[in-house]
Amino acid sequence: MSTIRVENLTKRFDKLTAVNSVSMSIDEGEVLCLLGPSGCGKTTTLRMIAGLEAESDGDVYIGGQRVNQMSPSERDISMVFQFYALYPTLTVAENIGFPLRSEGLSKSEIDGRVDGVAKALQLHEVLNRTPGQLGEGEKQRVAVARAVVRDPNCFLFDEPLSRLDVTLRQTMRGEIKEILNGLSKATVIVTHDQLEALTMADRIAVMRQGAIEQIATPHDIFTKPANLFVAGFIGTPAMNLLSGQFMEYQDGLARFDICGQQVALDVDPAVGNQSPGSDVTVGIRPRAFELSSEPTEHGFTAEVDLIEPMGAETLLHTMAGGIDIRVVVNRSQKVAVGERVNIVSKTGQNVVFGKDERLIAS
Amino acid sequence: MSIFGKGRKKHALREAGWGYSAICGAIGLVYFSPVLWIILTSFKTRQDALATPPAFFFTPTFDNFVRVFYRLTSEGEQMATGMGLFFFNSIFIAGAGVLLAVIIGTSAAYGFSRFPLKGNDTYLFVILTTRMLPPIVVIVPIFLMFRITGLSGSYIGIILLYAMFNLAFSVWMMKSFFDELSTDVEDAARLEGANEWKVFFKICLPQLKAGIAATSVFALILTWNEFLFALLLTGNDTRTVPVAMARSMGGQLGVDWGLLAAIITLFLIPVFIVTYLLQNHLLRGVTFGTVKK
Repeated sequence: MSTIRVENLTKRFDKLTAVNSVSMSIDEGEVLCLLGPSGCGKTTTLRMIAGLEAESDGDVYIGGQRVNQMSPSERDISMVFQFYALYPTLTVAENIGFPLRSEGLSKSEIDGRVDGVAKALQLHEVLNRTPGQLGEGEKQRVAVARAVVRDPNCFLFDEPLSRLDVTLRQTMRGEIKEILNGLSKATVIVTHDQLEALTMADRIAVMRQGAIEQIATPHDIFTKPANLFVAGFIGTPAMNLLSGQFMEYQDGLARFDICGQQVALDVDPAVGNQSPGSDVTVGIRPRAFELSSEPTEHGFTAEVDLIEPMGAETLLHTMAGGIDIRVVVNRSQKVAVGERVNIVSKTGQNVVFGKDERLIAS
Repeated sequence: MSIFGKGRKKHALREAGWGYSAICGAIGLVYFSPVLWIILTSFKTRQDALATPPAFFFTPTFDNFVRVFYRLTSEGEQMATGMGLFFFNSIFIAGAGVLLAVIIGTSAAYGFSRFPLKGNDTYLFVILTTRMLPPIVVIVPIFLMFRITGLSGSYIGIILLYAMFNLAFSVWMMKSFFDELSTDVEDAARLEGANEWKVFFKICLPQLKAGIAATSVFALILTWNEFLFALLLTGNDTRTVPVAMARSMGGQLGVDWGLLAAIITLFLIPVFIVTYLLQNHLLRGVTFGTVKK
C-alpha cells in the first residue's frame, strides 16, 4: 500500500521552529502539493518524510508502517530534487540505473529498464552523455527517469519545475502529471508556484511559518480559503481583501461599510450571525468584478489609477476611498486612467473573514 | 596605438595580440631565468661555470650528471656516490608523506564538512594553528620525540612528520572543496540505496578529482623541497636530496657549481613531470568554486 501519513511532525533548529506540528495523510494514487512562500518549512517537511532530516517530534508512516527509525534507503522512496541532484561523474544511463544497481539487479535487466524509461522520456539519444552536457529540460527528465525507473513506495518532488523556463515548465507539468497518473502512488510535491499546485495536485496543503494553514482540493482552496493568508496567497492577481464593518444581513445580502461606501454583497449566510458593527474583511477576487454603466449598491464607485494589459484580460487598479481595488476586465473594455467606473461584484464568489482572520462560513 | 591597438582589435576578447604576448613572454623569462641559469650551469665545465663574465655560449658536457652518481676514487676507479638512493628516498618519502596527508586530510575534511562536531570551527582552527609557527620553533621537541621513540633516521619517522605538516593544509583545502559539492547529490544516492561508503567513494570522491590533484601537487612541492627536518631527522640511509645537495657543497676546492646544478636539474624533473601531468586538474582545482557551475 502506497500511502504517507505524518502526525504532529515538528522540526526545531536551535531556537527556530521550522516545521510546527504538521499532520496530513496522502492516499494511494493521490498527489498532494505543499504550497507556501520560501522558507515556510515545506522542503524541511519533505526531507523529514524522506528521512534526510531527523524529526524533532512527531511520526512519519509510509505504507502504514512507522518509519522514524529507518534510513532513507530503507524507506523506499523516490525523490526528485530541486536542482536535480544528478551524479555529475556518471552518464545519463548510469544515473538512471543507479537505484537499480543498488537493488542488485542483473546488468541486462538494468539496461532493459533504463532503456524503457529513457524512451518514454525521450532520453534515449543522450544516454551516454554526462549531466554537464545536458540542457535544463533534459536534466529534469533524467531526474524524473531516475525516480520512476524503480517501483518505490511513494514519490517526493522538491520544486521539480522551478528551474525550467515557462514553456518547458508547461510541458513538463503535463508530462509529470501523466506519469504520476499511471503510477498510483502517494506523491508529495513541494512548490511555491500556485499554478503548479493548482494544476497538478489532488489536494493542496498551504503552509506558512512551519504550519499548515489549510488542506483542501484546489477548488476549495480557491473558493473557500480558510483564512486571510490563504486568501491572499492563492490566485493571481491576488484577491482584494477589503476591511470594513458588517452592518446587517437581509434577504441573502449582507451590507458592509467598506472604503467609505455602503455595499450589499451576496455572501455566506453565516455572516448574518455577526453582530452589526463588527470588523470584518471581505475578500473579492479581481475576476469576480464587472464594470457597470450605472452605480449599484452591489459594488463600488472607483477611479482608475493604473492599467496593466495582460493579454486576453486587462488588470485595472482602481481607488475607492484611498483603497486599491484590483479588477480584471476583458481586454475589449475601453477604460482610461482617471476615469470613474462602477465595479460590481458578481454573485456567489465573495468570502468574508472575521476579526480572527478566519473564514466565516456555514 | 601601434601594435597593441591593432592586436586588440583583431583578437577582440578572444586571444591576446603579439604585443601583449611578447611582454608576457619577457616577464615569464625573467621569472624563469634563475631556473634556466641552473639548468645551463649543469651542462658547463668547471671553467665555464666560474667564468667572468658568465659564459652564455659554451660546449655542453654531461660530465656533471655522471659525477652526480659516480665519482673517481684516488685509484682512478669509478665509485657510486649514493645519490641514486637519495633520489629514491626523496621520491619515496615525499610520495608516501603526501599520499598519507591527502588520504587522512580528505577523510577528515569530509567529516568536518558533512558531519560537523560541536565546536567544528574550533577544531579546524586548532588544526590550522599547527601551521602558524615557523617549523623551526618546534624543532627541539620534535627532535627529542624522535630520539625517544627511535623514529630518528627511519623512513616511517620522516614520512609521518611530512604527512603531519601537510595535514592542516590538506584538511582545509579539501574541506573547502567538499563544501562546494551539492549535498543533494549525496542525499539522492542515500535515498537510492547507497550506503555511506558508497556515497563517499562513488559519489563524492569522483567529483573531487581536480581538488585532490591540486592538494597533492601543493603538498608535494612543499615536501619535496623541505630541508630543515630532513637534515635533522634522516640518517645515512634515509637522506633526501636537499640534504645531500647541501653536503656536496663542501670540499677542498670550494663549491662544485656544475655538480650542484646537475643535482638540482635532476631534482626538478619529478615535480615537473607530476605538475605537468596534473596541470589541467590543478587549474580546475585551484579555481574550484570561484565560478558557480
